Amino acid sequence: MNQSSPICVYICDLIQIMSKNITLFITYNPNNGDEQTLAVRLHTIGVANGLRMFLPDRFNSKRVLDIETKRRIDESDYFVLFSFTSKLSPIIDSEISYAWERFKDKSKIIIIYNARESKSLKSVSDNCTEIYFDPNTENIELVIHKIMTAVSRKEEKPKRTKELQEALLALLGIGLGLVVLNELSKE
Amino acid sequence: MNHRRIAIIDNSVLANLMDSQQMDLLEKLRIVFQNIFIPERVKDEFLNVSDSYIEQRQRFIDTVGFDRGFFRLCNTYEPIVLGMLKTQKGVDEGEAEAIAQAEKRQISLLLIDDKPCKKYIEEKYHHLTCLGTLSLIAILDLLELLETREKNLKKHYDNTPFKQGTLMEAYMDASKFLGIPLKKKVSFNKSKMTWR
Repeated sequence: MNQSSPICVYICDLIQIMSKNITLFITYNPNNGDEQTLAVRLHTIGVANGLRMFLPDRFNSKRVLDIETKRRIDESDYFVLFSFTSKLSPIIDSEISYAWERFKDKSKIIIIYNARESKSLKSVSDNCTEIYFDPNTENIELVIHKIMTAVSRKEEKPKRTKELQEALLALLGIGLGLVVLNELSKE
Repeated sequence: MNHRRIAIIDNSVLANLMDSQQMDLLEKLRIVFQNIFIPERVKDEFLNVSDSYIEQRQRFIDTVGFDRGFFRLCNTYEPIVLGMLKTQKGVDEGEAEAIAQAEKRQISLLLIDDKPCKKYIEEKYHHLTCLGTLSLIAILDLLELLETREKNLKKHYDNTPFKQGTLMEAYMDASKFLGIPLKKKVSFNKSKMTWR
């Protein structure tokens, strides 16, 4: 990867904002190993760079939304899902529905679909940031730009929003890169 | 019916076994335990290392999921319990999460090497049992699962030096855990560090 590419710049931004209190909730489909591995990796990278990261607590049930998961969503600035499958678990639907109820700015619910799979969310995805990404053909920088455009629509406190977005985009850029690497390793 | 026990592992034991190149022992623990849980924070500490260690560790963590496999990630805890534990002297964040998760999941076995934390657990959490890396090696030895016992002990010693008395204690803990009475003479002989 070129050192001066926007992705590298985003990663540098992420390191620079280590001390900022930014919280991300990253979720995954419980039946999809790739989604789970990606979520766990992003969690590790985020924490290592000073972000506050949450994954869902599904100890009690894989179908019913746990009170602890609700608390984690409540405390998050963004809700992120990389959805690679057309068969979506009901728990994901519940988590998104809850986030949709709680987040004032719905664009902070970011769902990145694998463009090769059919859209897997049927319920409350209106006004959420939905991005379609084909890891085999699409340029990550363009996808990042699409996400940036979508989440920049409603700015309340520009300065803080910019910091949040830089952190978020850096992490999502890493996520997209990992998706591409995973696809390449399958070929 | 499965009588094998479930345990929560701390970074100290996981890193000790990994860094002393004893991944084979981690695999053999499948015979002793039903599942071993890795708290989220322990995972973060485990992966927060220099480049020379990260590749092997990341490869291991990539095989671990929340809902699959022998080693599993876990992230369920009572925030109040965790918050309280984080303020305790001698308990780091990973250890705090390990204890909080053991409480929530009602797991009574912690795999941990950190002495101050072990002391804290012994004082405050009487229902929790702690086993260290050396005790795990002793358990596998008493179950006759180690083909290269001396080599395993030497590798661990080179990574984390210990005394004969500590090894003897580990064998006592192992015999207690397994419910296998161990004669003093046997325990003494097993603790001889002739391989050093």
